[in-house]
Amino acid sequence: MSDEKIKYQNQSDLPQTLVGYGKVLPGQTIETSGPIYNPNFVLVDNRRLVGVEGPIEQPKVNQTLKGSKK
Amino acid sequence: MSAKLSNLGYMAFKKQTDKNVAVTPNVYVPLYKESLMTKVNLDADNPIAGNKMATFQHIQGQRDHMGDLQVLAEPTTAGYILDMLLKKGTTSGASDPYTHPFTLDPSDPNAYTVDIAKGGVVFRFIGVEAYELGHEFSDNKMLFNISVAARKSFIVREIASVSGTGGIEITLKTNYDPSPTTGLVAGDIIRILLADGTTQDKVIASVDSIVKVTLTVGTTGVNDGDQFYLRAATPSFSLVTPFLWSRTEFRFANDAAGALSATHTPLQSGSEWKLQHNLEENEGSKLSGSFDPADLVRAQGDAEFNVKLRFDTPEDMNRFLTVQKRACVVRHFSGDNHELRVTLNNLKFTESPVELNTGEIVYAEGVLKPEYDASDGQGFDVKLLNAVSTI
Repeated sequence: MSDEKIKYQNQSDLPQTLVGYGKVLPGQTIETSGPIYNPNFVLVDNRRLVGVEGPIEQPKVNQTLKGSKK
Repeated sequence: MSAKLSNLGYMAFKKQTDKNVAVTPNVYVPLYKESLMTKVNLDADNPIAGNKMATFQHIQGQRDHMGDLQVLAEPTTAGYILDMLLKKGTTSGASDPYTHPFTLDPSDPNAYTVDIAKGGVVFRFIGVEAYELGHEFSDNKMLFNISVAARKSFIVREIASVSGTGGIEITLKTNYDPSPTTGLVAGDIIRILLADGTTQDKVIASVDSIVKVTLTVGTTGVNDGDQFYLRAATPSFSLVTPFLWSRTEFRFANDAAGALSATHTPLQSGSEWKLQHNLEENEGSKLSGSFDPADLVRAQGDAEFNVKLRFDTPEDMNRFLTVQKRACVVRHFSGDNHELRVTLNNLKFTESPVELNTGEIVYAEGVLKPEYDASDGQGFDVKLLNAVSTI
Protein backbone atom coordinates (compact mmCIF):
# COMPACT_ATOMS: atom_id res chain seq x y z
CA MET A 1 0.00 0.00 0.00
CA SER A 2 1.24 3.53 -0.76
CA ASP A 3 1.90 6.22 1.85
CA GLU A 4 -1.32 7.94 0.81
CA LYS A 5 -3.52 8.85 3.76
CA ILE A 6 -7.14 7.73 3.92
CA LYS A 7 -9.73 10.36 4.84
CA TYR A 8 -12.77 9.56 6.97
CA GLN A 9 -15.58 11.79 8.14
CA ASN A 10 -17.59 11.49 11.35
CA GLN A 11 -21.12 11.18 9.98
CA SER A 12 -22.88 10.89 13.34
CA ASP A 13 -24.58 13.75 15.20
CA LEU A 14 -22.32 13.43 18.24
CA PRO A 15 -18.57 13.76 18.83
CA GLN A 16 -16.90 10.36 18.59
CA THR A 17 -13.76 9.44 20.49
CA LEU A 18 -12.31 6.95 18.04
CA VAL A 19 -10.08 4.39 19.75
CA GLY A 20 -6.52 5.01 18.65
CA TYR A 21 -7.27 8.42 17.12
CA GLY A 22 -9.02 10.69 19.63
CA LYS A 23 -12.04 12.96 19.62
CA VAL A 24 -13.62 13.71 16.25
CA LEU A 25 -16.42 16.27 16.04
CA PRO A 26 -19.57 15.72 13.92
CA GLY A 27 -18.67 16.40 10.30
CA GLN A 28 -14.96 16.53 11.02
CA THR A 29 -12.55 14.55 8.85
CA ILE A 30 -9.51 12.63 9.96
CA GLU A 31 -6.66 11.10 8.02
CA THR A 32 -5.50 7.61 8.80
CA SER A 33 -2.67 5.47 7.51
CA GLY A 34 -4.88 2.40 7.39
CA PRO A 35 -8.57 1.56 6.96
CA ILE A 36 -10.99 2.31 9.77
CA TYR A 37 -14.05 0.14 10.14
CA ASN A 38 -16.56 2.05 12.28
CA PRO A 39 -20.18 2.68 11.25
CA ASN A 40 -19.93 6.31 12.35
CA PHE A 41 -17.11 7.07 9.90
CA VAL A 42 -17.32 7.13 6.10
CA LEU A 43 -14.68 7.52 3.41
CA VAL A 44 -14.61 11.10 2.24
CA ASP A 45 -15.85 11.89 -1.27
CA ASN A 46 -16.71 8.21 -1.96
CA ARG A 47 -13.08 7.43 -2.53
CA ARG A 48 -12.03 3.83 -2.81
CA LEU A 49 -8.34 3.04 -2.67
CA VAL A 50 -6.85 -0.16 -3.97
CA GLY A 51 -7.01 -2.77 -1.22
CA VAL A 52 -9.17 -0.62 1.05
CA GLU A 53 -12.80 -1.51 1.49
CA GLY A 54 -15.22 0.95 2.97
CA PRO A 55 -18.95 1.01 3.72
CA ILE A 56 -20.97 0.05 0.67
CA GLU A 57 -23.48 2.88 0.68
CA GLN A 58 -21.75 6.13 1.42
CA PRO A 59 -23.86 9.29 1.78
CA LYS A 60 -22.97 12.16 -0.49
CA VAL A 61 -21.16 14.94 1.29
CA ASN A 62 -23.21 17.98 0.31
CA GLN A 63 -22.42 20.35 3.12
CA THR A 64 -19.26 22.29 3.72
CA LEU A 65 -17.03 20.19 5.89
CA LYS A 66 -16.59 21.95 9.18
CA GLY A 67 -13.53 21.61 11.36
CA SER A 68 -11.53 19.57 8.83
CA LYS A 69 -8.02 18.96 10.03
CA LYS A 70 -6.66 19.18 6.46
CA MET B 1 -4.28 -19.89 19.64
CA SER B 2 -3.29 -16.52 21.11
CA ALA B 3 -4.61 -15.14 24.38
CA LYS B 4 -7.07 -12.24 24.09
CA LEU B 5 -7.70 -9.69 26.82
CA SER B 6 -11.40 -9.04 27.49
CA ASN B 7 -10.75 -5.29 27.57
CA LEU B 8 -9.87 -5.35 23.86
CA GLY B 9 -13.48 -6.23 23.08
CA TYR B 10 -16.50 -3.93 23.07
CA MET B 11 -20.28 -3.73 23.11
CA ALA B 12 -22.24 -1.79 20.49
CA PHE B 13 -25.94 -1.53 19.72
CA LYS B 14 -28.47 0.14 17.43
CA LYS B 15 -32.24 0.30 17.29
CA GLN B 16 -33.91 -1.92 14.71
CA THR B 17 -36.89 -0.80 12.65
CA ASP B 18 -38.06 -4.42 12.32
CA LYS B 19 -37.68 -6.60 15.42
CA ASN B 20 -36.41 -9.52 13.33
CA VAL B 21 -34.05 -7.64 10.99
CA ALA B 22 -30.52 -6.80 12.10
CA VAL B 23 -28.83 -3.44 11.65
CA THR B 24 -25.14 -2.62 12.05
CA PRO B 25 -24.58 -1.28 15.60
CA ASN B 26 -22.98 2.16 15.89
CA VAL B 27 -23.45 3.18 19.54
CA TYR B 28 -20.62 1.92 21.73
CA VAL B 29 -20.97 1.72 25.52
CA PRO B 30 -18.28 0.83 28.09
CA LEU B 31 -18.89 -2.75 29.18
CA TYR B 32 -17.83 -4.31 32.48
CA LYS B 33 -19.16 -7.84 32.25
CA GLU B 34 -21.66 -9.81 30.23
CA SER B 35 -23.12 -13.27 29.92
CA LEU B 36 -25.19 -12.96 26.76
CA MET B 37 -25.02 -16.25 24.92
CA THR B 38 -26.89 -18.57 22.60
CA LYS B 39 -28.10 -21.82 24.14
CA VAL B 40 -28.68 -24.61 21.68
CA ASN B 41 -30.69 -26.67 24.20
CA LEU B 42 -29.79 -30.05 22.81
CA ASP B 43 -32.56 -32.62 22.99
CA ALA B 44 -30.95 -35.68 24.62
CA ASP B 45 -32.79 -38.63 23.16
CA ASN B 46 -33.06 -41.84 25.24
CA PRO B 47 -35.20 -44.40 23.36
CA ILE B 48 -35.37 -48.16 23.74
CA ALA B 49 -32.67 -49.02 21.25
CA GLY B 50 -30.93 -52.22 22.26
CA ASN B 51 -28.15 -50.73 24.39
CA LYS B 52 -27.55 -49.33 27.85
CA MET B 53 -26.13 -45.93 26.88
CA ALA B 54 -28.17 -43.19 28.61
CA THR B 55 -28.09 -40.93 25.56
CA PHE B 56 -28.72 -42.51 22.20
CA GLN B 57 -28.40 -39.26 20.23
CA HIS B 58 -28.49 -35.49 20.64
CA ILE B 59 -30.97 -33.64 18.48
CA GLN B 60 -30.81 -29.93 17.77
CA GLY B 61 -33.23 -28.15 20.10
CA GLN B 62 -35.00 -24.81 20.06
CA ARG B 63 -32.54 -22.07 20.89
CA ASP B 64 -32.71 -19.14 23.24
CA HIS B 65 -30.41 -16.15 23.60
CA MET B 66 -30.24 -14.58 27.04
CA GLY B 67 -27.89 -13.03 29.52
CA ASP B 68 -26.94 -10.09 31.65
CA LEU B 69 -25.00 -6.98 30.70
CA GLN B 70 -23.22 -4.56 33.02
CA VAL B 71 -22.48 -1.23 31.37
CA LEU B 72 -21.58 2.30 32.40
CA ALA B 73 -24.66 4.34 33.34
CA GLU B 74 -24.09 7.55 31.42
CA PRO B 75 -26.51 10.10 29.88
CA THR B 76 -25.71 9.68 26.18
CA THR B 77 -26.17 5.91 26.04
CA ALA B 78 -28.74 5.43 28.83
CA GLY B 79 -31.65 6.32 26.57
CA TYR B 80 -31.07 3.36 24.28
CA ILE B 81 -31.01 0.98 27.24
CA LEU B 82 -34.26 2.39 28.58
CA ASP B 83 -35.69 2.12 25.05
CA MET B 84 -35.16 -1.66 25.22
CA LEU B 85 -37.14 -1.89 28.47
CA LEU B 86 -39.95 0.67 28.38
CA LYS B 87 -42.01 2.62 25.88
CA LYS B 88 -40.38 5.87 24.86
CA GLY B 89 -42.72 8.81 24.63
CA THR B 90 -42.35 12.04 22.71
CA THR B 91 -39.03 13.78 23.21
CA SER B 92 -39.25 17.43 24.19
CA GLY B 93 -36.76 20.26 24.04
CA ALA B 94 -35.35 22.35 21.21
CA SER B 95 -31.73 21.81 22.23
CA ASP B 96 -29.55 20.16 24.86
CA PRO B 97 -30.96 18.99 27.23
CA TYR B 98 -33.63 16.94 25.46
CA THR B 99 -36.14 15.21 27.73
CA HIS B 100 -37.05 11.64 26.88
CA PRO B 101 -39.94 10.07 28.83
CA PHE B 102 -40.19 6.30 29.33
CA THR B 103 -43.27 4.57 30.68
CA LEU B 104 -44.77 1.15 31.25
CA ASP B 105 -47.14 1.15 28.30
CA PRO B 106 -49.28 -1.41 26.46
CA SER B 107 -47.10 -0.66 23.40
CA ASP B 108 -43.93 -2.68 23.31
CA PRO B 109 -40.41 -1.29 23.71
CA ASN B 110 -38.02 -1.28 20.77
CA ALA B 111 -35.62 -4.07 19.86
CA TYR B 112 -31.92 -3.59 19.26
CA THR B 113 -29.06 -5.33 17.48
CA VAL B 114 -26.23 -5.87 19.97
CA ASP B 115 -22.67 -6.72 18.91
CA ILE B 116 -20.22 -7.95 21.53
CA ALA B 117 -16.63 -8.37 20.36
CA LYS B 118 -14.98 -11.28 22.19
CA GLY B 119 -11.46 -12.24 21.23
CA GLY B 120 -11.39 -12.22 17.43
CA VAL B 121 -15.11 -12.90 16.99
CA VAL B 122 -18.09 -10.56 17.12
CA PHE B 123 -21.17 -12.15 18.68
CA ARG B 124 -24.24 -10.48 17.20
CA PHE B 125 -27.65 -10.70 18.84
CA ILE B 126 -30.72 -9.61 16.95
CA GLY B 127 -34.00 -8.36 18.34
CA VAL B 128 -32.63 -7.73 21.82
CA GLU B 129 -34.98 -6.42 24.50
CA ALA B 130 -34.50 -5.87 28.22
CA TYR B 131 -36.79 -7.20 30.92
CA GLU B 132 -35.02 -5.94 34.02
CA LEU B 133 -32.90 -2.87 34.72
CA GLY B 134 -31.09 -2.39 38.00
CA HIS B 135 -27.98 -0.51 38.98
CA GLU B 136 -25.10 -0.45 41.41
CA PHE B 137 -22.35 1.96 42.26
CA SER B 138 -18.76 0.87 41.71
CA ASP B 139 -16.86 3.32 43.89
CA ASN B 140 -18.62 6.51 42.84
CA LYS B 141 -19.73 5.65 39.29
CA MET B 142 -23.06 4.10 38.45
CA LEU B 143 -23.34 0.90 36.45
CA PHE B 144 -26.49 -0.49 34.85
CA ASN B 145 -27.27 -4.17 35.32
CA ILE B 146 -29.48 -5.23 32.44
CA SER B 147 -31.16 -8.59 31.88
CA VAL B 148 -31.86 -9.13 28.18
CA ALA B 149 -33.22 -11.68 25.75
CA ALA B 150 -32.76 -11.81 21.97
CA ARG B 151 -34.66 -13.33 19.07
CA LYS B 152 -31.68 -14.54 17.02
CA SER B 153 -27.92 -14.52 16.90
CA PHE B 154 -25.10 -14.60 14.37
CA ILE B 155 -21.81 -15.90 15.74
CA VAL B 156 -20.17 -18.17 13.16
CA ARG B 157 -21.28 -20.15 10.12
CA GLU B 158 -19.61 -22.71 7.94
CA ILE B 159 -19.06 -22.03 4.27
CA ALA B 160 -20.79 -24.48 1.94
CA SER B 161 -19.43 -23.24 -1.37
CA VAL B 162 -17.74 -20.34 -3.14
CA SER B 163 -18.86 -19.10 -6.52
CA GLY B 164 -18.82 -16.08 -8.78
CA THR B 165 -15.88 -14.39 -10.45
CA GLY B 166 -12.90 -14.46 -8.07
CA GLY B 167 -14.84 -16.33 -5.42
CA ILE B 168 -16.93 -13.31 -4.58
CA GLU B 169 -20.12 -15.20 -3.70
CA ILE B 170 -20.28 -17.20 -0.48
CA THR B 171 -22.96 -19.77 0.24
CA LEU B 172 -23.29 -20.79 3.87
CA LYS B 173 -24.24 -24.17 5.28
CA THR B 174 -27.65 -24.71 6.83
CA ASN B 175 -26.45 -26.94 9.68
CA TYR B 176 -27.09 -24.15 12.24
CA ASP B 177 -30.27 -22.80 10.68
CA PRO B 178 -32.18 -23.00 7.40
CA SER B 179 -31.48 -19.28 7.03
CA PRO B 180 -27.78 -18.95 7.91
CA THR B 181 -27.37 -15.39 6.59
CA THR B 182 -29.93 -13.99 9.03
CA GLY B 183 -28.21 -11.33 11.08
CA LEU B 184 -25.84 -10.13 8.37
CA VAL B 185 -26.13 -6.62 6.95
CA ALA B 186 -24.66 -5.15 3.77
CA GLY B 187 -21.51 -3.32 4.78
CA ASP B 188 -20.66 -5.69 7.62
CA ILE B 189 -17.00 -6.56 7.96
CA ILE B 190 -16.29 -10.27 8.16
CA ARG B 191 -13.40 -12.66 8.48
CA ILE B 192 -12.96 -16.09 6.91
CA LEU B 193 -10.88 -18.64 8.79
CA LEU B 194 -9.41 -21.16 6.39
CA ALA B 195 -8.50 -24.73 7.23
CA ASP B 196 -4.79 -23.88 7.22
CA GLY B 197 -5.33 -21.32 9.97
CA THR B 198 -4.96 -18.23 7.80
CA THR B 199 -7.66 -15.58 7.61
CA GLN B 200 -9.08 -13.28 4.96
CA ASP B 201 -10.86 -10.03 5.87
CA LYS B 202 -13.73 -8.99 3.63
CA VAL B 203 -16.78 -6.73 3.49
CA ILE B 204 -20.31 -7.85 2.63
CA ALA B 205 -21.62 -6.13 -0.49
CA SER B 206 -25.08 -7.65 -0.33
CA VAL B 207 -27.08 -10.35 1.42
CA ASP B 208 -28.55 -12.08 -1.61
CA SER B 209 -30.65 -14.80 -0.03
CA ILE B 210 -31.13 -16.78 3.15
CA VAL B 211 -27.99 -18.77 2.29
CA LYS B 212 -25.81 -16.54 0.07
CA VAL B 213 -23.89 -13.29 0.39
CA THR B 214 -21.75 -11.35 -2.10
CA LEU B 215 -18.53 -9.73 -1.00
CA THR B 216 -17.01 -6.51 -2.28
CA VAL B 217 -13.74 -8.25 -3.16
CA GLY B 218 -13.21 -11.90 -4.05
CA THR B 219 -11.56 -14.60 -1.97
CA THR B 220 -8.58 -16.88 -2.54
CA GLY B 221 -8.48 -20.54 -1.62
CA VAL B 222 -11.67 -20.51 0.45
CA ASN B 223 -13.40 -23.87 0.56
CA ASP B 224 -16.28 -25.84 1.97
CA GLY B 225 -16.01 -25.98 5.77
CA ASP B 226 -14.12 -22.73 6.27
CA GLN B 227 -15.49 -20.51 9.04
CA PHE B 228 -17.34 -17.26 8.29
CA TYR B 229 -17.85 -14.71 11.06
CA LEU B 230 -18.11 -11.01 11.88
CA ARG B 231 -14.88 -9.28 12.86
CA ALA B 232 -14.34 -6.41 15.23
CA ALA B 233 -14.71 -2.80 14.17
CA THR B 234 -12.74 0.06 15.69
CA PRO B 235 -14.94 1.32 18.51
CA SER B 236 -15.72 4.97 19.10
CA PHE B 237 -17.38 6.46 22.16
CA SER B 238 -19.57 9.51 22.65
CA LEU B 239 -19.74 9.80 26.42
CA VAL B 240 -20.14 12.42 29.11
CA THR B 241 -19.66 12.18 32.87
CA PRO B 242 -21.50 9.11 34.13
CA PHE B 243 -24.14 9.22 36.83
CA LEU B 244 -22.48 9.24 40.24
CA TRP B 245 -23.43 8.25 43.78
CA SER B 246 -22.23 11.66 44.90
CA ARG B 247 -24.77 13.30 42.57
CA THR B 248 -27.68 11.00 43.36
CA GLU B 249 -30.60 12.39 45.33
CA PHE B 250 -33.56 10.60 46.89
CA ARG B 251 -36.57 12.87 47.34
CA PHE B 252 -39.59 11.69 49.30
CA ALA B 253 -43.06 13.16 49.73
CA ASN B 254 -46.67 12.07 50.01
CA ASP B 255 -47.07 12.25 46.23
CA ALA B 256 -44.84 12.30 43.17
CA ALA B 257 -45.37 15.98 42.40
CA GLY B 258 -44.24 16.93 45.89
CA ALA B 259 -41.33 14.48 45.80
CA LEU B 260 -39.81 16.06 42.69
CA SER B 261 -39.06 19.30 44.54
CA ALA B 262 -38.64 17.87 48.03
CA THR B 263 -35.41 18.15 49.97
CA HIS B 264 -32.97 15.34 49.32
CA THR B 265 -32.82 12.65 51.99
CA PRO B 266 -29.26 11.29 52.18
CA LEU B 267 -29.30 7.50 52.17
CA GLN B 268 -26.70 4.84 52.83
CA SER B 269 -24.95 2.89 50.12
CA GLY B 270 -27.14 0.00 49.03
CA SER B 271 -30.20 2.14 48.52
CA GLU B 272 -31.36 1.35 45.00
CA TRP B 273 -34.21 0.92 42.56
CA LYS B 274 -34.88 -1.84 40.05
CA LEU B 275 -37.38 -1.76 37.19
CA GLN B 276 -38.97 -4.78 35.54
CA HIS B 277 -40.97 -5.20 32.37
CA ASN B 278 -41.50 -8.92 32.37
CA LEU B 279 -41.63 -11.27 29.42
CA GLU B 280 -44.18 -14.05 29.23
CA GLU B 281 -41.15 -16.34 28.87
CA ASN B 282 -37.62 -14.96 29.23
CA GLU B 283 -36.43 -17.55 26.69
CA GLY B 284 -38.92 -16.22 24.17
CA SER B 285 -41.91 -17.92 22.58
CA LYS B 286 -40.84 -21.31 21.32
CA LEU B 287 -43.48 -21.83 18.68
CA SER B 288 -43.50 -24.32 15.87
CA GLY B 289 -41.56 -23.73 12.70
CA SER B 290 -38.34 -22.15 13.99
CA PHE B 291 -35.22 -22.99 15.96
CA ASP B 292 -35.18 -19.41 17.32
CA PRO B 293 -37.84 -17.77 19.49
CA ALA B 294 -40.77 -16.57 17.46
CA ASP B 295 -41.19 -13.49 19.64
CA LEU B 296 -40.53 -11.89 23.01
CA VAL B 297 -44.00 -11.37 24.48
CA ARG B 298 -44.42 -8.68 27.11
CA ALA B 299 -46.29 -9.26 30.33
CA GLN B 300 -46.61 -6.94 33.35
CA GLY B 301 -44.22 -4.45 34.86
CA ASP B 302 -43.02 -3.98 38.41
CA ALA B 303 -40.31 -2.32 40.43
CA GLU B 304 -38.33 -2.73 43.62
CA PHE B 305 -36.97 -0.03 45.88
CA ASN B 306 -34.66 -0.56 48.84
CA VAL B 307 -33.58 2.17 51.22
CA LYS B 308 -31.04 2.17 54.01
CA LEU B 309 -30.82 5.09 56.38
CA ARG B 310 -29.96 5.89 59.95
CA PHE B 311 -32.83 5.22 62.30
CA ASP B 312 -33.73 7.71 65.02
CA THR B 313 -37.39 8.75 64.53
CA PRO B 314 -40.42 6.57 63.82
CA GLU B 315 -42.12 8.19 60.78
CA ASP B 316 -41.17 5.44 58.31
CA MET B 317 -41.93 2.79 60.92
CA ASN B 318 -45.42 4.29 61.23
CA ARG B 319 -45.81 4.25 57.45
CA PHE B 320 -44.81 0.58 57.44
CA LEU B 321 -47.16 -0.39 60.23
CA THR B 322 -50.16 1.54 58.87
CA VAL B 323 -49.48 0.87 55.17
CA GLN B 324 -49.29 4.49 54.15
CA LYS B 325 -48.42 5.74 50.67
CA ARG B 326 -45.03 7.28 50.05
CA ALA B 327 -43.67 8.65 46.74
CA CYS B 328 -40.03 8.98 45.76
CA VAL B 329 -38.22 10.65 42.89
CA VAL B 330 -34.65 9.42 42.50
CA ARG B 331 -32.54 11.96 40.62
CA HIS B 332 -29.15 11.04 39.18
CA PHE B 333 -27.41 14.16 37.87
CA SER B 334 -24.58 14.56 35.36
CA GLY B 335 -22.92 17.79 34.32
CA ASP B 336 -24.96 20.99 34.42
CA ASN B 337 -28.27 19.78 33.00
CA HIS B 338 -28.31 16.04 32.32
CA GLU B 339 -30.32 13.74 34.56
CA LEU B 340 -31.79 10.29 34.97
CA ARG B 341 -34.99 10.66 36.95
CA VAL B 342 -36.87 7.63 38.28
CA THR B 343 -40.31 8.41 39.72
CA LEU B 344 -41.97 5.84 41.96
CA ASN B 345 -45.48 7.16 42.39
CA ASN B 346 -46.98 5.05 45.13
CA LEU B 347 -44.77 3.03 47.45
CA LYS B 348 -45.69 0.89 50.40
CA PHE B 349 -43.23 -0.50 52.91
CA THR B 350 -43.28 -4.30 52.87
CA GLU B 351 -40.39 -4.63 55.31
CA SER B 352 -38.73 -2.18 57.64
CA PRO B 353 -36.35 -4.01 59.95
CA VAL B 354 -34.35 -2.02 62.46
CA GLU B 355 -31.72 -4.23 64.07
CA LEU B 356 -29.30 -3.59 66.87
CA ASN B 357 -25.77 -4.94 66.54
CA THR B 358 -23.14 -4.21 69.13
CA GLY B 359 -20.67 -1.55 68.04
CA GLU B 360 -22.74 -0.52 65.02
CA ILE B 361 -24.91 2.45 64.14
CA VAL B 362 -28.68 1.81 64.11
CA TYR B 363 -30.02 1.57 60.55
CA ALA B 364 -33.44 0.98 59.05
CA GLU B 365 -33.39 -1.09 55.86
CA GLY B 366 -36.73 -0.60 54.19
CA VAL B 367 -38.07 -2.63 51.30
CA LEU B 368 -40.77 -0.77 49.39
CA LYS B 369 -42.99 -2.05 46.61
CA PRO B 370 -44.67 0.26 44.15
CA GLU B 371 -48.28 0.07 43.14
CA TYR B 372 -50.44 1.74 40.52
CA ASP B 373 -51.38 5.25 41.57
CA ALA B 374 -54.85 6.12 40.35
CA SER B 375 -54.36 9.88 40.56
CA ASP B 376 -51.04 9.80 38.66
CA GLY B 377 -52.18 7.06 36.29
CA GLN B 378 -49.00 5.04 36.69
CA GLY B 379 -46.79 3.15 39.11
CA PHE B 380 -43.46 4.48 37.91
CA ASP B 381 -41.80 6.26 35.04
CA VAL B 382 -38.34 7.34 33.94
CA LYS B 383 -37.21 10.59 32.37
CA LEU B 384 -33.80 11.05 30.81
CA LEU B 385 -32.33 14.46 30.05
CA ASN B 386 -29.36 14.34 27.70
CA ALA B 387 -27.81 15.81 24.57
CA VAL B 388 -29.22 13.21 22.16
CA SER B 389 -32.04 14.70 20.10
CA THR B 390 -33.38 11.42 18.74
CA ILE B 391 -33.29 8.03 20.45
